[in-house]
Amino acid sequence: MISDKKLETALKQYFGFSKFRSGQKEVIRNLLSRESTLAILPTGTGKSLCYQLVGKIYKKPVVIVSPLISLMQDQVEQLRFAGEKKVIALTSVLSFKRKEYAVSHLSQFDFIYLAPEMLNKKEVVENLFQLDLALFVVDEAHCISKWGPDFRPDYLGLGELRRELNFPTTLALTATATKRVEEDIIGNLFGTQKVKVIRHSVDRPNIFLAVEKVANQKEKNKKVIKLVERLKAPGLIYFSSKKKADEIAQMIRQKTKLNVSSYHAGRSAIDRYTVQQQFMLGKLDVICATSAFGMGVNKKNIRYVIHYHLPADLESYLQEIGRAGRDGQQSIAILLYQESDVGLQRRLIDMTLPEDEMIQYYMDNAQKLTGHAGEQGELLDYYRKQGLSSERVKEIFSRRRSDKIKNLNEILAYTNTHHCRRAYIKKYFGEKDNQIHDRSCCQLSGEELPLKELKMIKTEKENIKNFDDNSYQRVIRKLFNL
Amino acid sequence: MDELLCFFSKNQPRRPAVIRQVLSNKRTVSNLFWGLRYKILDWLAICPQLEREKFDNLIAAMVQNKLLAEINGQGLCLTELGARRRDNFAEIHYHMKSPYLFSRFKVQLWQDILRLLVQIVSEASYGNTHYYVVASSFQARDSIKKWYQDYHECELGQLLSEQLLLFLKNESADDATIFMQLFYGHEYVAKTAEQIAVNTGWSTRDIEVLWNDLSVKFADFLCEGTSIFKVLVIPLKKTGLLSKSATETYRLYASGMTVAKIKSVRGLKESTVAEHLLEAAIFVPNFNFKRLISPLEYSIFSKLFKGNIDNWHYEKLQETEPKISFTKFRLYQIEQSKLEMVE
Repeated sequence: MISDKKLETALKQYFGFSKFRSGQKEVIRNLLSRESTLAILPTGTGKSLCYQLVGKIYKKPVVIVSPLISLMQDQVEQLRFAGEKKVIALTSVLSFKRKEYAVSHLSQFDFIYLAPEMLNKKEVVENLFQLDLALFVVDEAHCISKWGPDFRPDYLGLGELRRELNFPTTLALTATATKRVEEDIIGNLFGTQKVKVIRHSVDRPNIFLAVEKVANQKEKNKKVIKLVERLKAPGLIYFSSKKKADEIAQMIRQKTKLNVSSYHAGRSAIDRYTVQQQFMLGKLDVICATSAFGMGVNKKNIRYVIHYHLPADLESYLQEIGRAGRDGQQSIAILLYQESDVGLQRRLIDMTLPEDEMIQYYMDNAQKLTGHAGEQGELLDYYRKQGLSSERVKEIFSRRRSDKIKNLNEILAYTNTHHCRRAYIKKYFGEKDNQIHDRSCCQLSGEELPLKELKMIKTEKENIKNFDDNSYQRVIRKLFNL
Repeated sequence: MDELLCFFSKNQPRRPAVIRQVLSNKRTVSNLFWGLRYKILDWLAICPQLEREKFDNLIAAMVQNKLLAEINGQGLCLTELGARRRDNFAEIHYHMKSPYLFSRFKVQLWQDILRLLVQIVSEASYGNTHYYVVASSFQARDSIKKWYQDYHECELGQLLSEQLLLFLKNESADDATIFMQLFYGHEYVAKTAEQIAVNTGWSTRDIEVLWNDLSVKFADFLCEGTSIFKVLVIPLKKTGLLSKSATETYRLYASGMTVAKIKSVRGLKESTVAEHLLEAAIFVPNFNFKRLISPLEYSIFSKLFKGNIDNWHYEKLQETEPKISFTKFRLYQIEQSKLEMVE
């Protein structure tokens, strides 16, 4: 058994940190004892470091299945930043040539990130069999659960893949999982095998929880301006629409002196990189973003997270507000709620889940439509290939729809509760209700925001300075240290 | 939308289709010829993604706004209002200085390489090896990696700054400052085009055009020089504007081969060889027209055709000289157009 001191030395050597964060050491110890583990740790606890350090200690490859390309790319960049060169993300954005090379030389990499759809490719799986794995990791493991809000059909094959790989030590990671999702992950991925579950509370005591109700859009926009001008920066505002994120960024730019930018999948890769770097280096006061922002963003001092639109469910809400206050300092999460926002979320559910009529049409004309029916088509194609009948597929989607609506109702109930919001969240995630409500916990329905008491109002000094505007000669001298 | 107005004229109504095809690099000899006539060939391939539907919608909007007007069912010309808008646009927006370079380089790849180059040289100047690499293609990363292995022992910061300062000295100080704000380096973060636009009062599109213009001009500058950065650009330079097959035909023609011989050596139809030579006549400086047009034919052409080249018609030639081919007529038009431009 490796000693605590040795573990800390390895942490310092490979990542430059002198202390583990809560939960990390426990997970790493389990994995080093070859025990498969499901780790349910809140955002900001450094989940990826757990498998990265184990890979470093064993000096063997780690395979990580991850559902989001942006997340994978962020993690690849972070590993490269930490000096790790042998890392690859096998995703659809990789060029054919590069992918072909990487697949046939998998053993040359220490960290192999895989998009779940890659596991349907025979040559990828065959090359995986050749590896002597330190660890098999399933990131965002809640995607495996059909009860979870982000269910990904490709994840269902992971249990089978584990069996084919002869049951490698496995780490399943997620930030938020209700008891039901937890059971689903274990059942699908580990079957009857023994697995350790490490669950830390989703609660982040330093994040004050608030819901501000507004009557209409105009009032909501006014509220945004008032908040971003008063609140300590930097902050994040989340949107469900790219267009709205741009629009509000523009509004903030016009009405305040703050440095603001938008971030979403509609912006170019180079703009996304720029905005992210500016934010990390403290050049921006606020980012107006969609959920595309944040995965892997490890900025410690985000003081507030505002939700302009109602999130789809409490899981994603918790993930997103979890980006605030990673330095442990007082922070705040404010959900702006306008009654008609529910309609937007319902429309989003309709857009992502096909209606019975569409399912029938797709199943009847699948040959013609394969590859041309967008995201919904891909999902339908998955079930069609499983040999399911139209009726069965309709049933599945009908259940998915009611699950999503149920999740939406849960966050609506959170919004409208007259009781302690923190207690509500804990209860939802199956944690013990030991919350003692006080003024620093959350804003109860109808109460004013206690920004002053929380010391969340910025002082003049704390205004982020404008960008330096230098001549090109000075920029060149600075760039090249002359 | 107003950006397109500079390609229209008050008296040449057939421009719209040619403009679209030149900008999006849809090459036919006819398009290239008319692009040459309208003096817009410098803009060839500047907008390869331009879709017909989008272009048509823009044209429709310009007609609706009375910037363009239909002329006798022949096509669209600039109206007085359109001409004023065009001039006004040119006054307040960045004007691309070297559009012709766009078809000379693999622009996207070069821009990726350039951003990476500045970043890695900057970080190396501070001895820093831990940084997030700027978003870029694998091709760009590979190319920089190989180059860096060969040159990392040089005084890279000093050398790159010299090249940048030499290059930017010839640009306006404001343009140069904006250009340098678009790079990443050690503890130096770029601005987005949108942010620079807010600070300078220009549009986001202006900043994007400036970046395209100056980055490609810098590629050309490095290509002409002898610095250690030249090797990064050379593989991105396109050897010529001719298509691959036309290049081969022209090579044989320039070596002295006759059209009949080229036809048999290459196994091509005579009309294809003719198309290739017309393309070469348009793009190759000092193309030898005299090998294809006899002195007698020159004399016939010069008697028959005078004035505005746009108004010369092959039918007029056919009435008296039915044996002279259309290719020869078009070659003569091309030669005269080139001479007109020199004058």
